[in-house]
Amino acid sequence: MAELDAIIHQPARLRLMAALEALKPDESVEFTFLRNLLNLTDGNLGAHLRKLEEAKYVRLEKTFVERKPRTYIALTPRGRQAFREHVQALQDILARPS
Amino acid sequence: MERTEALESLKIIDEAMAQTRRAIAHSGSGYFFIIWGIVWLVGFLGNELLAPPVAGYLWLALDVLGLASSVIVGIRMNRRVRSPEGKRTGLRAAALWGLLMVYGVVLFWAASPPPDRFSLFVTLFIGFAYAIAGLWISTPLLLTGLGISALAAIVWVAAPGLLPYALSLLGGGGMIAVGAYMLRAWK
Repeated sequence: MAELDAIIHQPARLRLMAALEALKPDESVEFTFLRNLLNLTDGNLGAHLRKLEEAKYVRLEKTFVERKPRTYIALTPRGRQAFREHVQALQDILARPS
Repeated sequence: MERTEALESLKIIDEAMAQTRRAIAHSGSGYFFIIWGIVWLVGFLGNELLAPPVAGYLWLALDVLGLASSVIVGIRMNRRVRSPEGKRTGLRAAALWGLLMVYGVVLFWAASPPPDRFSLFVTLFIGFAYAIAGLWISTPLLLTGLGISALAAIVWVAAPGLLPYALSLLGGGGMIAVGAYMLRAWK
């Protein structure tokens, strides 16, 4: 039976992981796009991303576009797997006889 | 964890995923609607309020500005999500608009509409182009194309003298309103 993931369970990180799961496997998304989408501040999103990066759930790639620094974010295969198990655990709770 | 909490979490996940897909697919479209809404608003008002040669130059300037702004916005929007397909998709979209413009010019030359039907012809073709592009790119664009075509046809039949004002205020203004709504709702 799948288990809930304490790192993903936090509401902002849950939305963050769900947003990244919505991307195609070979896609990555820009930091400011994600920040605006999730209504988070730079600091808040940065902190959540650090936590997820430490768990190896997301991959951050820093690059320069027209001499401006940009950060692109994507789920790692491990992050995708963890997220799907978390969703399965939530569905298992719903399927439990009450 | 309680069932209600699990249900709430699954709802949050569904909403975040749907919002992300919508934002990637459509949110940038709002800028295009606003750009071309302004072009229509100013251009068709210019048709009525300025001498024909001046109105012609105004349209030319507006179209150049509209195209340049659209290219810049398109490049910026493309940067939000990186994917191997991204560049190819952008080029295909540019090719689609380029082809439609070429066909518009050729059809205009072939049909040679009388001067009092210039606006009607151009508007119906642009409505057709939006609708065709909308089938491929986004539903709001399809609906805008159909709406513009219906507006032009109805006003032409009911009150042809009001066509430029209708295209400017209802067509252009409507596109600006749709664009602003899209940017607000689908950020």
